[in-house]
Amino acid sequence: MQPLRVLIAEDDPVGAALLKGLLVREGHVVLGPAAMGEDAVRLARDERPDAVLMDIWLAGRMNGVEATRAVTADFDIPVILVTGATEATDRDLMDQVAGSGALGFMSKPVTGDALRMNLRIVRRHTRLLARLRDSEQRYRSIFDNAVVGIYMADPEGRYLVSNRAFAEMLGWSGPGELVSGVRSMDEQVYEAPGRRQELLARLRAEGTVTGFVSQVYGRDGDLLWVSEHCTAVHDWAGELLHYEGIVVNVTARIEAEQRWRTTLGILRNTIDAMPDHVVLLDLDRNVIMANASWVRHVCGPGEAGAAAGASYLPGTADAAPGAVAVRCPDCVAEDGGPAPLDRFLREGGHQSGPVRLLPGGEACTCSVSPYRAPDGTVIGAVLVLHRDGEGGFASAGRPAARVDTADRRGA
Amino acid sequence: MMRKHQFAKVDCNCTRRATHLKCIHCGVMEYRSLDEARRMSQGQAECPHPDAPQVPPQERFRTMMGGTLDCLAPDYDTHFKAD
Repeated sequence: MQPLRVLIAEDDPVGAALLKGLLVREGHVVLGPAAMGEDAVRLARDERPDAVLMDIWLAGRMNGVEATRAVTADFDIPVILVTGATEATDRDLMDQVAGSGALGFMSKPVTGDALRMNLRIVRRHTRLLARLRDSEQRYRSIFDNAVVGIYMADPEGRYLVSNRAFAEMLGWSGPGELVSGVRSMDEQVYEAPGRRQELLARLRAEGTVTGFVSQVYGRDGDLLWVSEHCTAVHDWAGELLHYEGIVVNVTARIEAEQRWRTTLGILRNTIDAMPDHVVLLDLDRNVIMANASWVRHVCGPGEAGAAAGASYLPGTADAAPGAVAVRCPDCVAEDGGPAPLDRFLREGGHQSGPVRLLPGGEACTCSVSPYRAPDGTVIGAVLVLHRDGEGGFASAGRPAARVDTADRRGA
Repeated sequence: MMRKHQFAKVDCNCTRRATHLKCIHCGVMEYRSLDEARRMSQGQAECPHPDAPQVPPQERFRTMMGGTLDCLAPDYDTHFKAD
């Protein structure tokens, strides 16, 4: 077994010699003895022994309990206190011993068995400490080098711990600066008032919150979007102690979604602004999508579908509440032959011609164009009904002709 | 009108990401994750069984434009529990 380097702090030469003899007999290396508390601390600092055997009553101004506090706090070296005092003779001193950070305690006169047992505890403690340091270093490395932001915050709105990625995400130079610089997350971080309180309420109720997307301020005042995954940490009484969050910057994604929504809105408004009926059909004549003009024509101006006033996809989330699924517009060709849609379904290609829209017999021009899937296959048709003259259906100056939707519902 | 499969887990206690799924109507087996079953193409989703649910034309049209169909049975986790 590897010998230990043990520092003896003892002002009594006889006691020191006794301890040295026991240690040497066990094969350990002896440092000291230090007669004063100050010397013991200095030697511990310079020599970094594996353990210290510390007498409580030492010469000098610093006693053994004070020296133990300094050695354990500053150098993390295990200390075993040695004294002739007992709880019966000196209760106050024993209270101090308990809070000194000493690992072990031996009564004088020290026996070989007691010393051996205490040094075994020291070895085990040192091994555990090394393993703990190793583990801490490993997780610290994952924490520090993570590309996502990681933080711990208290319920009052202050960051307790943060990793580098999170500090940099918010524009701070490092975790320390973020933790000391943010006094109130409500005022300095979250853009929407009450947003953090909302997160806290959900954490208290659910324990874990995922995909919590908020707009937050960076240090220089720029706004970014983040998605948080938070877990609450409670004390034994169930009170929220703090919470831990993993943060991803989703600004690029949210901005792309906003751009996509804007483009979609422009497309919808464009198709809805057309005075002609524009209807997308599949090859079974089912209406897949239609513009506002056609929706008004089918539903009438006061009904739910028309209230949407926008192009819609019946039977999907895009459909207005209460919207009815309709089949394609019924019309007959002016010349009595097949209508353009029938010609398209038979022959394909672009088809057009004058028709009368049923019911009502309104005269208009019908044009049918093939609609293709990304692979080029024709999967439907775009049908445009244009009312000749006077600017189309929208400016007809009278309610759009009603279609008997009941007959077509689900047909 | 097209009909679609409704898949349920064969081994209800399986916790793997991909697992054996069986259509509760036609009985066809697939080895897929639940996410994959929620996003199936038209070709993968089509079920020949007359009791399988119909796919509305609008949803079917979407699949032709790159959309997907949810083919997970509502009780996918417990449907075959008795077996």
